[in-house]
Amino acid sequence: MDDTELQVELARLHSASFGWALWCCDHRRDEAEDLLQTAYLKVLDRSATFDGRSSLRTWLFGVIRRTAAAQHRRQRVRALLFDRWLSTEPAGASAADPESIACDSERSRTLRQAVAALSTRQRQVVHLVFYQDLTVEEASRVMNIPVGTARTHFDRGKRRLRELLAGQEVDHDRG
Amino acid sequence: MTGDDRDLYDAFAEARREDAEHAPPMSFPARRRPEHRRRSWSGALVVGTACAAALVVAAVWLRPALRPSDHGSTGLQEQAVVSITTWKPATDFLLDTPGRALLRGVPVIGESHGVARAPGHG
Repeated sequence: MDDTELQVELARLHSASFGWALWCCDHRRDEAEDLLQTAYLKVLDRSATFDGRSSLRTWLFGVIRRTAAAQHRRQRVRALLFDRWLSTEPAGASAADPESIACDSERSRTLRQAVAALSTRQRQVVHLVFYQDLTVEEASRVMNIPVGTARTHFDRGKRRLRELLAGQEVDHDRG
Repeated sequence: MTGDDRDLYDAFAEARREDAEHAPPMSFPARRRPEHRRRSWSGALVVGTACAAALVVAAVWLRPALRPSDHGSTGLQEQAVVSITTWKPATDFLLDTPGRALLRGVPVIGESHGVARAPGHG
């Protein structure tokens, strides 16, 4: 696949990729945009090469997930090393971007809050299946885990999500 | 996907629509390939310089030991040869058996080598 074809494909998948990046960054919009740019750079620089073993979308989401994981690792190390002495990061920086929250509907906000309560793997597999319309097998490839493990996380995540959503609905009714 | 999950698919689809509405426009990042190349070149230069410096230090440090002696062999070689020729095993005395001199030299008639004669033979 040459550069032009790759750019066309990336443009086609851009909206979905941004959605995935947002969820990989706990809905911090600026961080998601940076993440996406870094991932695109990896793809266009051929630091990450598509070998055709899966669909391009599955592969690209894997690149985005790995890039996000690397960014989070760097942030954690930086926080461990420097934040003890230099607390440059404003309080609440790890929370979701207020701008993006303000744009969300009530239902989406409830959903995001419920999904945020899941474990990382449950959150990822639930997002990939329900939001990105991937199969559990494809999600397992994006997450680089066995299908059986992905299925277990999916079932548990789905069950927990329903419980959380039901709990929030009850709270709303009471309120 | 099962029919029971329809509500979850709908909820996520709504979130997806909202995310898509606020997605930033597609823009490709400026390529960093030349910069990568420069960085790899500068990295290679640093590594090369460090290796060369290490070699120089090693050469200077080992030079006295490798310097040839007056006999044409190096000091280290000479030391090794001396130690091999003078070394004897701790059990060497066991080989020093009685009558060993007989085996080493040519016997002479009439000369006694200290071998005891049997009584009654002269």
